[in-house]
Amino acid sequence: MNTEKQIIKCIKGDSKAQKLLYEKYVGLLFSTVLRYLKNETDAEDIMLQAFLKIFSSLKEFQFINEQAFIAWMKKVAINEALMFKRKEFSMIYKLENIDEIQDLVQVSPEIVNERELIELIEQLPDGYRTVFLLHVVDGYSHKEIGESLKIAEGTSRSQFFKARNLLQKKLGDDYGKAIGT
Amino acid sequence: MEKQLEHKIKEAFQKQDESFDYEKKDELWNRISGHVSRAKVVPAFWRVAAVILALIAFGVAFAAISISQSQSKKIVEVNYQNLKLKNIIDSLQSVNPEKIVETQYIEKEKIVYRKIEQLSDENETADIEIKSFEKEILNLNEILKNTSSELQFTRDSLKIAFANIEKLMNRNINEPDYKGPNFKLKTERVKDQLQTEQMESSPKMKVQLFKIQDSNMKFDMNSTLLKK
Repeated sequence: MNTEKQIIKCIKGDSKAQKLLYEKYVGLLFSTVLRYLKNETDAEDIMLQAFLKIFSSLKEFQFINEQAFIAWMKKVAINEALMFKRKEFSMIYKLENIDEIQDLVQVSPEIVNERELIELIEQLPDGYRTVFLLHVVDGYSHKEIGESLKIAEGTSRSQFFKARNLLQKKLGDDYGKAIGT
Repeated sequence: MEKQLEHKIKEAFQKQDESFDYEKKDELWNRISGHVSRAKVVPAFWRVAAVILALIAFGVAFAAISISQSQSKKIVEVNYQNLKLKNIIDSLQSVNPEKIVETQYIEKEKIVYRKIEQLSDENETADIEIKSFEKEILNLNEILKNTSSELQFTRDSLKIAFANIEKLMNRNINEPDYKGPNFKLKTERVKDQLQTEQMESSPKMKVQLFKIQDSNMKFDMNSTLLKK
């Protein structure tokens, strides 16, 4: 079924269309939410809230193409997740102050396995990881990150750089040894 | 190099998202559909509530209109009454008010304190003289009164004497030559009431005088009648 028609049916309150839409995008959205929350139970609750918001806000959405629709749904889900963790984040960004990492080993991304790269990112501290994922994976600007997490834009920026440095350090630790640098 | 790493990370996560298969999606859908159906019930409830509210609003509006109409009628009536009362007040105001005159008699104030100024010595002697003159006048007045009363008494006695003398003189002049028996009639006692009425002369009370031939025979009626 065409996505646009499906959306129109969902707006009219067609439960079948809503179920089809849910089944089509639940995996994608759940994966997105889960990378921010790390907890499946919390992610399920957030998914519930996110889908309710998507169904109720569909009439306000102007369909252009499926990519834009997916991006919009992702944004709704991520916002719900960030709202859930907002109090936690406000504490995290005050306390997390890791020392400047020096003597970074430059590792070529080509030699890094995708699976291992994801695992490395998941090992990052919560604050760093969130900002890094928002900026790199989901395409948020630092201004948007600041507004979403209720932190200053500069804080977002510094958190991002610290996250990247930490990641590079980890990569250097792992792959530097492996390639003998 | 950093950009390449970031791009690779993005691609890795996109691939993960696309390939992710959520196992509990049916359970989650049940929860979502439950919420959606409840969310559908809520608007239905609000629709019913809106209908009820509309009915209530209509009823209130109808009541308000009817109340306002009745109120306007009452206002007209009250205005009429007010006009009537104004007319009555005007008519009452045109009537002259009754004057009530109240006279109060107030007892004269008692003298509590009286200041008498002392006269000088000259005035005092003059006052004493005046008082003595007054006394003298009073005494003279008394004497005059006594004298005048004595004079009056004397004049009265002289008048009586003069009247007696006059009577005696008149008797001697007017006395007739008749030498018949002398008698006197006893004064008749009559009541005042009877005197006022016209009395018919009683034949028994008629007195006739008869001349007596015998001169020696004296008929003294007073001696018989009055048992003298």
